[in-house]
Amino acid sequence: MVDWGSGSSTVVCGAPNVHAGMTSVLAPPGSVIAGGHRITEQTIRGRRSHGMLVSAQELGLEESSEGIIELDGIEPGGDVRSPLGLDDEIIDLDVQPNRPDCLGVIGVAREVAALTGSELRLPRIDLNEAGRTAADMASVKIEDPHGCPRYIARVISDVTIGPSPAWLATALRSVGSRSINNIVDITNFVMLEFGHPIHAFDYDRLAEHRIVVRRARAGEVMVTLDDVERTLTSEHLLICDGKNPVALAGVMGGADSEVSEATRNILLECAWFDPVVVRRGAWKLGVRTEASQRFEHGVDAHAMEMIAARASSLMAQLAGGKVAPGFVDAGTDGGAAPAITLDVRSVASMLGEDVGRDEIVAALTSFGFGVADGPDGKLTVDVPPHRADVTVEADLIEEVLRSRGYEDVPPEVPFHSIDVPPDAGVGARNRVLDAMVRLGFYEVMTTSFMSESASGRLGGSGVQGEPIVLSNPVNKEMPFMRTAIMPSLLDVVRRNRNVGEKDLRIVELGKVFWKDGDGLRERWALAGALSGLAGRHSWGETPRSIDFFDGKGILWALAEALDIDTPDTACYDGRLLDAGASAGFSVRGEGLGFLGMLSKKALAAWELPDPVFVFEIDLDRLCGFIPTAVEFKELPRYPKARRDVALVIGERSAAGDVLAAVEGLGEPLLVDAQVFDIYVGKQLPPGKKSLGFGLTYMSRERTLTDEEVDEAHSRIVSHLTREFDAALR
Amino acid sequence: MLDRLKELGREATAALQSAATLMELESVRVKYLGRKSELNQVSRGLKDLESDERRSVGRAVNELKNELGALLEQSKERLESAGEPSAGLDLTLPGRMPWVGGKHPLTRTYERLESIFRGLGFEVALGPDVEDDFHNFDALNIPADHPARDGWDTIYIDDDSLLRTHMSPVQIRVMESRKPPIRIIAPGRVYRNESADASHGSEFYQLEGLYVDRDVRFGELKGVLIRFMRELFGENVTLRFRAGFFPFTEPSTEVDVKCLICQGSGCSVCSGTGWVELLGAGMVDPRVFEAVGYDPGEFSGYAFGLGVDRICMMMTGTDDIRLFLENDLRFLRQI
Ligand SMILES: [Zn+2]
Repeated sequence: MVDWGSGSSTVVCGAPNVHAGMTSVLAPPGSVIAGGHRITEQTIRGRRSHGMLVSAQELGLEESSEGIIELDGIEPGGDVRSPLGLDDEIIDLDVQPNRPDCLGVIGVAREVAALTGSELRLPRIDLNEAGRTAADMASVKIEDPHGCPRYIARVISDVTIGPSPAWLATALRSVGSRSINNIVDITNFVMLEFGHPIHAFDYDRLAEHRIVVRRARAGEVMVTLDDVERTLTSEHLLICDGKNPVALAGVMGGADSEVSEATRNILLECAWFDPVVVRRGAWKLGVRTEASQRFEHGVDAHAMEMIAARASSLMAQLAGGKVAPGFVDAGTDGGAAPAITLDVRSVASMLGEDVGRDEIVAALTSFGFGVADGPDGKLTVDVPPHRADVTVEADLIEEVLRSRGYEDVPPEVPFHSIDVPPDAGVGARNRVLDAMVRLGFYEVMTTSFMSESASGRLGGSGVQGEPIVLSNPVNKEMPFMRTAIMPSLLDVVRRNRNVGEKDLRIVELGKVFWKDGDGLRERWALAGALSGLAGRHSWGETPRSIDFFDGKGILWALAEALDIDTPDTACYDGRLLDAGASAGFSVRGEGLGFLGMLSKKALAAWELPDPVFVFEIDLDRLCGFIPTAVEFKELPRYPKARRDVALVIGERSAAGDVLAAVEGLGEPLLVDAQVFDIYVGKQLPPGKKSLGFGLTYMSRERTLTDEEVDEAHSRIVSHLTREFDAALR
Repeated sequence: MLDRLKELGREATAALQSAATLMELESVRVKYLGRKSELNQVSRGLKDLESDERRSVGRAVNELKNELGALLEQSKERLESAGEPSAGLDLTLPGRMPWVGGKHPLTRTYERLESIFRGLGFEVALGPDVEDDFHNFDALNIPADHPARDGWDTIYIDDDSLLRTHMSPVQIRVMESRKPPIRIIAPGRVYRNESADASHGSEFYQLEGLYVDRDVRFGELKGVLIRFMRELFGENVTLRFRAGFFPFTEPSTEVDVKCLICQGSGCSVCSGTGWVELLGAGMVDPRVFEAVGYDPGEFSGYAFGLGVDRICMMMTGTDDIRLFLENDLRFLRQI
């Protein structure tokens, strides 16, 4: 039973140190412990447990702990934050890549001071330098001034390596960093203060007490302090002692010169490394460290003396070290950045007419910029060294806006008219999608990536050409850009089948990609899949399963909806489809795509039990056929007359050939020809079938007489009987 | 005989008036007015009667025929105008429905956004998904080896070709091909090498906008974005403009909208913060103008970008972005 002050409840606890009368920490149901686990009420060993008594590990205070926390001097129900040292406020900041100065607490404090008008207080530095000078004890030589423009070294002797005081360990833990020993912790702490990484070497393990900064030789090997042997290239910058590499500059220290229990004297490095050199070096090795990330963003070469002094003073204070007078300083701080000329009128024209000269000067001064009167009434602005991100006038305008507040600029919506050029095919594609939705299709959106196996299965069914291969795919199983939409559409069919959705009509309008020689190409495609029943389930009717002609009818209806000529059917020999139930089709001789039933093999590959019909169309080409303007034709004023004919012809004759023959005759009175019946059966001689055609006749000039219609009809019928060796039924 | 005719008249009148269907009415007609009806027999038998009786009965038969004929027409009209109820239809049975399709929720979101921006004078511009380094990065003031590139986990094809990580390359392509004034929106799919979770996908959907002209102000950017958001989410939407950083705009701002799912109290869509970052925007950086050959002294402009999947989530209450790419029909029908 746990008493939590204002109540009590049963909590099941299996910790070895739990005992009656102890005070511990309770996590009630709903609380979240370290690692993100949420506590719920649950039954443990037959007893209902209303929460959990937690260990230091579960509070995120220790790496691992045995048993639950035991507290003294606190009443049940009291606040445990203070006794556990958890009453510090932690502010999580998202620092943008242009503000490396804010990757340290002091940079953030400087911003806060500017924005609130308060004073910036820097940490106290007490060096009490004594003994031999640093310059006497160590030397620094920069062989690659591009990779390392400046290097400062300080020497601290007679340090005692030991655990950090509680405040330092707690501070590091609060930002997710582990406490190692007082010296290493100080370098990490000062990095967090100033945003500038520094490194402590064991002075006595540096050969000749010498630092040389140079590029690595190709194939040179060093062991970094994570005990990994790394093979380097000439892109890597090294810190070496008189003989060997001792650190990978700006990335990681070396194992040999690492500070250890036995370390007595320290050489402290505070350096300015080139961002690109550090970035490339780290990237080549596949490592990113707190240090490398900060160097990549750029550090302030003008603050290095202060940073080295601050770290030295902490080493004296917390590790009993003696700071050698002075420091070794190699290279240059790069000098002052060039001043920027700021036109007060550009600020006003971008932010609003009421932004005056005084406000601009005050804003920039508060952020540490030096502002003086320049030529032609403009301002000359000196950029403080920690603001290397500010290089042009627009950057200064942003500073003024930040000071003024984004909320304080009045919104305005002026209207300027602009001539708009014709759209980029968007309208045509929208029309296609609208038509497909009217035909009962749900639009889906699937991945642009494609697996190797899907690519293999497609054979030549996608766009012609090689698939584009991604060098770093998100998912190694999907290394290609899709050459067809169909594979991912079939995945959608399967996923839906697995949740019981069998009757589906889905469509996607998307891009497909391919390689054409060296060229990377892409175009729009339209793909659809149909499966299940041809109509929706209804009472009193046995629904028919979908077949080839449902698919074909949809494409023909799409053509009709888009005012495109009825497509022609052609042979199709794509690998995915059943050769007997698939077809290619074209308009005005241009191939558009294909339609058909998935082959048994493809169905098996996609784990689909029932027939699926698919189509995929070159959407760019299809859109090209959509007429931009539709011409009005006068509505017919005279009646139509219909005559039917049933031809008994060879079983293998194609209805399409008969219709083509009818059309080929060019009968002027014929306006429509349809297949209305197919019959195969006992009433016909073997090897024959009967095809019924309905032919419609009309004139635009007059009402046709029966004789005229009959004449035209018999011309067609006798042509067909001759042409197809057909009998009339 | 006259009495019998009167009786017949009464019977027939009652039958005609009570006929409930056209079919019933027809049988009444056959019975009383048909060829074999009693009345017709009387009519045919007239010639056998004495002349006095023949005249009086004849007149009575004619009157009755006329009377019943008129009544028949009336009844017919009555029944026809009422419509003939078909026997035995259970009208509560479900109707036979045709297939109904629908557009993907993201498409509908795009249509909504595009129509709002069209109303604000923007035209739609498109570009390739497979881009080059120059259009995706260099021209946008994101040089190689700059940490700003880390913000885009880029999927590469080779050293120079990549999948666009944002819609900004379309802005560059439009500026390369035309002179200001330009007012475009660029909708499309973008790619990042990130593994998917509830709020991020590796393929997602954006819309970017660009306006370039002479003397374009920051206030105009705010004005257009506020107008857009109000039209999209209603007059009561709460916006927050924060300072932001994008390499291609200066000054830059990030625009948050108070979470419409939880009204600001915190939920999974807003990661518990009560605000959802919907827009990044800013004034076009002069270095971008230089890259496309515009004179930064002559032209200024603004650009903005927004996550369309995020907006779709806010508008539909969908709490997992992956649902948009899974295409579960139960989801597509619902949303
Ligand atoms: Zn929310």
